[in-house]
Amino acid sequence: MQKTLSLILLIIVLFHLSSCDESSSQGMPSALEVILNPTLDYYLMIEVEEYEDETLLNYVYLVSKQALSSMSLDGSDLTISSISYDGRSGYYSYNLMPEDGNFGEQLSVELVYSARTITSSIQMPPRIIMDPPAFDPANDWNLEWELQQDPDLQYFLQWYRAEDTSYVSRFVELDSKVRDYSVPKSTWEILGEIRSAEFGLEAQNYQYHDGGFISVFSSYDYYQMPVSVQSRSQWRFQRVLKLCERLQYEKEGSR
Amino acid sequence: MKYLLVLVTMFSLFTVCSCDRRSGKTLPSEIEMTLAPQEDFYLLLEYEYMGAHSTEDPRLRFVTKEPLAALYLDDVQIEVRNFRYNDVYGNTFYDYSFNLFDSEFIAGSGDTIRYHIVLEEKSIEGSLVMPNMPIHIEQTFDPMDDLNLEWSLTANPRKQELDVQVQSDSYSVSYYKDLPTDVREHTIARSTWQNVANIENVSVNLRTINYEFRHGGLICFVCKSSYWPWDSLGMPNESDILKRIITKNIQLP
Repeated sequence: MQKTLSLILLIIVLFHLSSCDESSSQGMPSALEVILNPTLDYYLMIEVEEYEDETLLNYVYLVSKQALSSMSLDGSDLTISSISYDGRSGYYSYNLMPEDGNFGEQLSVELVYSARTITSSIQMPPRIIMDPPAFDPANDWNLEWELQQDPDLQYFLQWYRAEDTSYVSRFVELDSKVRDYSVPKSTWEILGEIRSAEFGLEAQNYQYHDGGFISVFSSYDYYQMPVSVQSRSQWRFQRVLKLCERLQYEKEGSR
Repeated sequence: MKYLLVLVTMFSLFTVCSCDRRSGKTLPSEIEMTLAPQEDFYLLLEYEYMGAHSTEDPRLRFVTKEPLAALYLDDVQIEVRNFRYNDVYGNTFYDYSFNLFDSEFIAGSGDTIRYHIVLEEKSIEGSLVMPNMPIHIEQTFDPMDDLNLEWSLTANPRKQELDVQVQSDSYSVSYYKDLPTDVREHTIARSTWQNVANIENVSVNLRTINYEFRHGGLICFVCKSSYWPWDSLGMPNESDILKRIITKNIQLP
């Protein structure tokens, strides 16, 4: 359940959180479409994610009408780490383990089903280069970054957390040419004292292909406990706590 | 796996129905309530039972486009534990959770519960019956056999739904059925889990739901009853072992 929940939540983040509208043939499918009412043969999501400490993580997720036989990226077969089948939608969800991904590369994709093989190629957006200033609750947060090519879409996702665990979350779609963003301090003023600030900047390319949808993301993640200056070890400890906390929330959320 | 912390708290997955594409309103999923709210507010109260016992603090959640000033259940003011203010691509709403455990609110399944919601611009009052708790006649799960489920339920709710999760370490299958409200048994074909090798866990969850759309919002009371006919070691559960001891199928030394 936890894996299923995590997968669904990632879908929510990676897709537009639009309402019940049917997806247009050219626009992004909505998260609710992918979760509740998938219509395409498949939805493939590939992400290379960089944290502010330069840790790189790669994710590959597939929501598919048919059971998948195998999948490869750039000729390398991927291991399927988990599968879930949703009896409500009739779709399979796959969590696959990729090789290390590279920003900006042209990715060749192969999905092998019993009755057909889908092949495609898509450009992974370049690496987002960023050196964010420390979050200061008393001031606007002015951010700048570099991105060598304009992606199809660009998002800025942010969370601010108070001591009592109240949150402000704000998801913004940016013009793909934009390379700076200022978050007004009014965004988190509703919370009072801030315990943590977090954002993710996402660059996305996508294509509809052979009855399905393929999207690739490069992202940059930032997390800060801004109230006091922390050592790196303290920061890493907080990351572990955050993971534990997340698992607890997942447990609660799955009830 | 970023961003999950906040989003995980935004919903659980099992209150069902897809989007309302007809003229009449149907119960939206909790995902829809909390990711793309269409109504002015959603009041969700859920009791969870394992056997005859409530397992947890009831889950109370209020999603609203306007800030909440106060919430009363049976005239007891319920303290806000925390809130989330979400701006999801321009769609803004608050999502509150509460400290029910510390309150004096004591209503149980089958009780009529009065609610009083005070928003900045309006106040909403009404009452709704918390559905009765379905009582499972617990079955032993046999992967080689169909799963025949039975339960008892005193009064028909407005909606009744069943979900069953069958999981191994790397494969999970979810089964869902929106059942007629007067049904008290259901069979799931063994083919449902035929691809799941080395089953580690099976959970059976029945939900009885009463709801009403009122004053531009939705009030939804859920009673969830769960049991696990297969434990993590791939063995019948403890209650089944106990039954077998009672019926002398297992002899104690």
